[in-house]
Amino acid sequence: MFRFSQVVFSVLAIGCLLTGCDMIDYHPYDVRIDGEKNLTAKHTSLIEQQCEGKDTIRFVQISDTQRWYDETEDMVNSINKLDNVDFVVHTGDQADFGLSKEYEWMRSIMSRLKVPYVCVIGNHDCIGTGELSYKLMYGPDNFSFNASFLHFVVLNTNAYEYDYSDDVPNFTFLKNDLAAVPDSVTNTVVAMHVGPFMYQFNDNVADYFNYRIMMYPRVLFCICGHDHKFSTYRPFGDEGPVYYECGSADKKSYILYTVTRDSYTYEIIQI
Amino acid sequence: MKLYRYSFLTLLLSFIVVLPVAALSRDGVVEQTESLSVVVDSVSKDFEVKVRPKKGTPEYYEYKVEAYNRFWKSLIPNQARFQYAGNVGMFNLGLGWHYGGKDRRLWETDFMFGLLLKNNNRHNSMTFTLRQSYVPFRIPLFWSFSYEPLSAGIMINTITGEDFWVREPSKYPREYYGFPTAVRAHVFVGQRVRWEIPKSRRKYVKAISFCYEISACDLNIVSYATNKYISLRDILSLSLGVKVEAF
Repeated sequence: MFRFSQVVFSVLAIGCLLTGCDMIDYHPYDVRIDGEKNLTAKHTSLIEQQCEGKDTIRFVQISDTQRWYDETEDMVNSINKLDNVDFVVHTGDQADFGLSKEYEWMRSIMSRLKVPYVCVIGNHDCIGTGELSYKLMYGPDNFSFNASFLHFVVLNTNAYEYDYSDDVPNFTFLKNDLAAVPDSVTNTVVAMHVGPFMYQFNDNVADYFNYRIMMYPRVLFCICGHDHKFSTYRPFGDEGPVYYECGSADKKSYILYTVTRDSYTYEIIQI
Repeated sequence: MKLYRYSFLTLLLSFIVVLPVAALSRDGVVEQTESLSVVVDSVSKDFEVKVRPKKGTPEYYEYKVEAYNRFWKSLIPNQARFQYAGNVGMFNLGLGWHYGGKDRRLWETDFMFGLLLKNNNRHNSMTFTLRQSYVPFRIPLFWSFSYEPLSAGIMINTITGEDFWVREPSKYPREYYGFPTAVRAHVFVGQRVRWEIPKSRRKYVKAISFCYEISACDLNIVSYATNKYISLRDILSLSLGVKVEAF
């Protein structure tokens, strides 16, 4: 016969589990996201406030942190030790499988950053219902903000994930965004996950993409990720900006950019 | 000709032709001898031991029909289940079989149909789950309740929707993402309390079980295995269920 104390223990165990409501999941690709949502709007307005009137903008680029949670945590700790960083840009692929849980885990790691951060959508972020999760947690996939004199444009360039059913890259957005750039802006930086002529980019429109990008006030450089390695390339030669590609999180390194009105420097920090 | 294209057809054929034939020559069938022409006492009602009559006689035909019926009867689902949550859909209804072991409840196989109701711009989707579980222990409690301290098994789940693929679309290079987004495998362990309704009070079903299960899905297990940051609790998911046994 089964002992009474064991029954009591089992009932208690069940009760404890029931109260842990975060264990109720309907599907890995379900887009019921707990916690903070619409982070892009919150963070960009924070960045705009904090950077107002500054002559030097310092920001960090991290990229491709998919399924490297431990490494990302180390990078966040390392970034928090830096002085005078204004914001952090994640250039895509924070989720590996596009699961909403992955977004929640990555958000909880990046929320420990002392400075606001913005996230670019990567091709892995689009898998399954990942794009919906991204839009719910962060907001639109194309957006821009002004950090003092610096206009910062974030674009979705994962054309292969969309079958031409969406405008990727979205030139209408670029056109409208350009029209709304304030006069105080003197320089521009563009962030995307997939750079031109990388697999996933719609290469057919690469030249026009460059043409539209170059219409922004003094484009300093573009930043991207995707290939999991550090590299510098000029896909359009002298007619276009230089592209800095950040390595993946398993390399435990990130790029720190320091931008002034006249020039910029970048530094690859290995931890 | 690629064989896998006809795997469904092969499966169907095996159900229609091969299995009944196999059932006819199952254990419990005794070849007729000259002296023996009586029906041997049945061991149980479900597994009657009968003598196979001589070929060509009318009894032989009747015997064959009976065996055919017996086989198909053995395929009637003998349990149904309802499951809430558990990462395989919001609500699941399933039909299945329990079989094996002394009390024919050691193994369970269920097909479940589930719904994932719309939310956050995501439309309704359907899920289909194949569930195999193993229930090795029973501990009698009071009245006709019993406690089953372990049920363990796997679930293979698929979800409908144009966002998911079983085989990667051809636009990608081979093995670009390398996993089917539409098919998920889950492992689970759980516990149950079973109430076998006393024969005098039985109306529709033989027994009712209340169960809970803790499951983890393949992709989350991969994340857990490769990161210290992910705790076991992060990847576990709870489901609650009710199972009824018809017979």
